[in-house]
Amino acid sequence: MLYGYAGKMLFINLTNGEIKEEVLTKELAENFIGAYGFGAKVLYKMMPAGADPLGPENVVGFITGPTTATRAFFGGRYTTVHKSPVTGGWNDANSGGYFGPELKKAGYDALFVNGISEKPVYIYINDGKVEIRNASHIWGMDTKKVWEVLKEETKEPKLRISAIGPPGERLSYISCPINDGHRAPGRGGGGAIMGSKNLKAIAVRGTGDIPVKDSEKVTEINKIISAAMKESQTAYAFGTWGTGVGTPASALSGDSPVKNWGGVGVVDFEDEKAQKVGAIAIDRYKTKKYSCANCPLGCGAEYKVEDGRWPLEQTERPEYETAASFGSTCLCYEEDALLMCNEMCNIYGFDTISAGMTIAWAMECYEEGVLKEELDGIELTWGNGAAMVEILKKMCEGEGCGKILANGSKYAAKYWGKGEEYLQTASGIELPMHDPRFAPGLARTYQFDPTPGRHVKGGIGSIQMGGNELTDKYDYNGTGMFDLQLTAGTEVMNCSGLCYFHALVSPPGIQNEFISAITGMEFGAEKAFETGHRIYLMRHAFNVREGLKPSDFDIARRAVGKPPLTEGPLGGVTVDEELLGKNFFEAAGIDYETGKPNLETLKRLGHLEEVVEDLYGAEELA
Amino acid sequence: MVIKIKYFGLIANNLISEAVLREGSDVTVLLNHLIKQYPNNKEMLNKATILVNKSKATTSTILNDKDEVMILTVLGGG
Repeated sequence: MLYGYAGKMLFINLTNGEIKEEVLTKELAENFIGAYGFGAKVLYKMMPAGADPLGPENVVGFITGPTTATRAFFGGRYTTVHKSPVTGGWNDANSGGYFGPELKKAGYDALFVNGISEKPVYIYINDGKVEIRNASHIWGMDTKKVWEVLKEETKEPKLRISAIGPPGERLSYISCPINDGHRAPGRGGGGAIMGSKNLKAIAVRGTGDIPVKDSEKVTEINKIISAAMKESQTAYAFGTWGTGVGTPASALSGDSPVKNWGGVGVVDFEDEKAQKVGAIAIDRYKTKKYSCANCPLGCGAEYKVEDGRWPLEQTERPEYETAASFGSTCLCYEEDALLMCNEMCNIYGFDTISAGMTIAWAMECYEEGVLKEELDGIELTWGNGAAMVEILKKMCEGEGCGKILANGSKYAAKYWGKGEEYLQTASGIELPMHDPRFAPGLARTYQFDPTPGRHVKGGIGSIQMGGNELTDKYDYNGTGMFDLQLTAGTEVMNCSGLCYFHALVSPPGIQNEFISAITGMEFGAEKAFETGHRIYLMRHAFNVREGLKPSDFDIARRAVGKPPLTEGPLGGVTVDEELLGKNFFEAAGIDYETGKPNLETLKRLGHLEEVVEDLYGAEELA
Repeated sequence: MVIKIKYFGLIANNLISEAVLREGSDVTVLLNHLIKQYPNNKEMLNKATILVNKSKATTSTILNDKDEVMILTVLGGG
């Protein structure tokens, strides 16, 4: 028995209907923790290099971590992994809610799906019983409707699902699965991968218990977190208003991008406008608090919107990323439009960052006269909420210009042969809502992380984006080791199943204590650093095998201040993203030119034999 | 001299909107003035991003009469 794990991984091939289980090995658990640690190891083995992201060889994984489905606070997350149709490389994304814990309680730490079904199907898992079921009757339904229908069909009112909407069925590159009606591993085209496999949903019901080595210690750690939260203004604010509480401050400080990354908050989105898209203003619609599994913070909320142009009987509070992507990035402060866009993304299954950013790109193209008739007569001017909703509706329904825009801004620019100069992407994926000119370390993660364009990959940017200025953030020398240490810690956190926000309100080192208490491993700082570094290299190796070198990864010029803004708090800032990348790769033992991890580092970290063999030959394994 | 203050983010907006400080005071003086009145907000005030007249300021930025200070508590993540 492995403490902290269900102990099994499930593999399903939708081409031939094969369902098989594998025992989770102690070696995998101890050295790769869970989530995308498992995912990178498994996909490297299962998938050949050069696999078509939308073909049968691509594998989509749904993976939990050791804290998932235990009583550990903040341990409610699961991660999806696959090769991305957007970036052409490795992809991981994670989500809260209750789906992850349910999967693990049903008996599986992970589910990996490859192949392509001839007809629409869903996978039904109920306490170790696994079926591939017909989904023809739910194909075309939105994600909330599917959940209702499947609860009825399985006679399981506590059923949890992760499902795609119609955009995923149409293989939209910015589509994603949605679990619990409004939680999403949103980024990188996971919806398209499921759609390409004719896989509408994963439906799970589980009642099992996960063995924990030291339950009393977990309780003790939970108490430490509770005590810290009582003293934390951040915990109070997130717990009261959610992540959107910081939206106005972010827009004005330069943390949030403004006007498709070309504007300045204090000039283009001044304080009265910024306040309107903040959670404190919008929260008058709140009817109920919402927390993910085992979360003492509860940053979510249900809303009822009775006024405005788009009343909504029940919807959810927009997260910061959503409020910024449809708000400051589009210069829109019409809250009813913002709420409607959030709801449409949830029920149809879109990544809200890419959806908002794609519209921001189209807005700038419209304003600059680059796109006109392509947008089906819609006057997509800056801040025009009605036009924003109209365009997004077309994207949801795959109609007219929406069919093109539903594949993201880069695809649309290529399809129309216009607007490439206005793209704000990193290796093809739309940038998230924290600006590297404000937190320059993010330039390294956005551009060079194996999963480009993410704000949850740690590194020095992760502390800079919270406004922390312990060091001169615009001094780019000697950043490598600190950047690697903070990245490795985040790798461990993400793979443990803990939520990113635990780190905002907990004492340092809590994640290692949780892993030790739950699994029984001696998981101190040194082991955490090595493990996080190893997991990073495993993800990185997936891309190396795809033939991707650091020079193949790019970032939009505006995001690094090239040219710099001429006014506002970030006026004159230019980020040296290349130096940040070189520093990091040197510390991580990766050659900046070829992208190859060096042999000494691979051997020192160990458990990366397949990477050693592929890069340096089998003789090096002896 | 009189300094106008606006708050955005985690700090409640019912804090004082004006502060009377001695000539030559810098941002640190203003923050200490606020922390003295609102000790519960010390954590946030100390990590806030400060703009003076819509430009980035540091703790040593000298304030002038009728300057507008924005106190922005930015949070990562979301």
